[in-house]
Amino acid sequence: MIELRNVSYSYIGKNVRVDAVKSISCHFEKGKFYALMGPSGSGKSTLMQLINALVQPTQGSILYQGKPIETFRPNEYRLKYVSLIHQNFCLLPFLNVLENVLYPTSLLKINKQEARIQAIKQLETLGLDATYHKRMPSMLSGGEQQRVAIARAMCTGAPVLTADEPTGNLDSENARHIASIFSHLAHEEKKTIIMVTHDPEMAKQADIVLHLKDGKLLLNPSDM
Amino acid sequence: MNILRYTLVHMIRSKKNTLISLLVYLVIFLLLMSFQQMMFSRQDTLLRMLDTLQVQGVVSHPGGEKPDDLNMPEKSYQAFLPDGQYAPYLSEVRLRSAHSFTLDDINGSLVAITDENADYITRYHPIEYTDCIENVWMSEECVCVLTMDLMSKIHTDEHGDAWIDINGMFESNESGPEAFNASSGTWTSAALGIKTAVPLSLRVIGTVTGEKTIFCPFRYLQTVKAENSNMVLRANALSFIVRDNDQLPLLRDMLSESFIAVDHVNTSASQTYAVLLQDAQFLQLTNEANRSLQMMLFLRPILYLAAMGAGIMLVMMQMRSRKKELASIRSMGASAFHAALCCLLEYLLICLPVNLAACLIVSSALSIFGLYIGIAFILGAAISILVFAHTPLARQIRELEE
Repeated sequence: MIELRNVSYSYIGKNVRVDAVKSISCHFEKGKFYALMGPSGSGKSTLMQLINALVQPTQGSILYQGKPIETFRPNEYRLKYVSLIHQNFCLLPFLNVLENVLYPTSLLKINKQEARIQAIKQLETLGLDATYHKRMPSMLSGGEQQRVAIARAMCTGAPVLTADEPTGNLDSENARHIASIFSHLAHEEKKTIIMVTHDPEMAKQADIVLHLKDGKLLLNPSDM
Repeated sequence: MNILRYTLVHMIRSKKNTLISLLVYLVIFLLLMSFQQMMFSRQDTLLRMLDTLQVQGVVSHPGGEKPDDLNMPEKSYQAFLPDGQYAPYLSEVRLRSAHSFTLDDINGSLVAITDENADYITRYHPIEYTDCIENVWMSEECVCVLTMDLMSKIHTDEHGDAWIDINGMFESNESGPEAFNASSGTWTSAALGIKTAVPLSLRVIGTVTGEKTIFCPFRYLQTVKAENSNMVLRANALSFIVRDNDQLPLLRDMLSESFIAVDHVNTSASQTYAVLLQDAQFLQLTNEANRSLQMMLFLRPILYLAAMGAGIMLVMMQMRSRKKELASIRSMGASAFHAALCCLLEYLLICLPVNLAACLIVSSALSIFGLYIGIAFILGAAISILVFAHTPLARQIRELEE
């Protein structure tokens, strides 16, 4: 689904060159739940940015279904192929739950009625019934907000979901719930889930756990 | 959800922000409009002053206004009279001083005196009035003053008034007018046969010593001219009042072109006449008005820049709370342009009702200015929004996560 070939990323920070990601090669397959783990500064978030085409690799290439992602228009790529779920949910505060979920579909210009049915279905799958539809984000708990964010990411039908510390702001119960949702999405709906996390308990639910340290992918996690 | 609906929903559900934006724009708009109104008023006042100012002009012989220097040919001053080429630009024309023409029959001359120069004959010739008030030249009657040499030419009517007939009597020294019909105002003369109308019969109201000259008020000269097409008139000066000060530059150009050289009536030599426009005060006010206009031209961009600055500042202030929203929609797949448009449309919708209200309430000139303020404000907002919208998304998301 997504392949990284010798991907490196460097940036200049305070007159010092920082190699955030160093020659990483890996492959993310369809229907698998991946967890990216590593200490702070290990390059997890940068790797997520690279996968989401938020930044361009300074070396190497990233392929989506065999095509370099530079060949896609970045916003179209994020809209149709790889959805991003944020740690702090990033729901639009002035839109209600249903409107939030429907928002990305308005960018896709798909049939409104179909999009609405799909959104309601996604919300129900995530345990948010019709009573939630008109609620504003401020009226939801953290776990509920994250579920709305997942529904929103799902709604466009993107085959890949990336989540940067999606449970960072949640209690353990909600975190487990979110992890189980990701597992379900990967195994039942054949989505590719790539999740950055610090939480080993969350990582346990993933099919594959990738460890990063100093911008490199560790083949042997015991090296950490 | 299209951009317009998204913007409207944002405006309605973020009432506080919308209200602040609206108030800020309203305050800026009113301030700048008031300033502009002040400048317009000042300009109007100056222009009104310029309009009401009477600009006078004088055309004279360069040698000066000497009443006995009657050498301006008729064709020159005819240009100023009601049918002349300058008539559209002039509200009032007065021939100044004396105008004479030769009366060949008596080897003398008729001198017409304008009201302003009525004292001419008293200054240059001792006058003896027989039956008149002092200011004879303001009289509505056809009056004249004769030299003693011409006294024999007058006749007396049945009331005992002395009359001189300019048009007819010198043609026949023998008989003269025989009868005056008071109801028709005409003289009949058997000796002249067909001559029945003598419009310029002047009642003699005084005598002066000197040559064979008849002095009469200027207004009768034109009547004489009407009766004697061959008569050659000359004047040495005239004055006029400009009808429309706006057209003063045009008039000045025309005058300077025409009066560079005017052929003298009696000689082949070229004669130059001086045209003096008494427009010093007008020019002073014009300069002041121009300075004011220049100031306005200079200040206008500053006002627009102020509006633009206000747009930039307002967006910068509000963008703090909108950064998260814009980063979110961009991370979902909206383009930078789409994100910018969502914000910009909101400021456009804020400006629109204020400007529409201004169009309905105030004059068109001001509403156009208001439109420019609106455009400047939107432009400022657009600059600010576009700068933010083009911030790398990765950085926006990093800030978002922080």
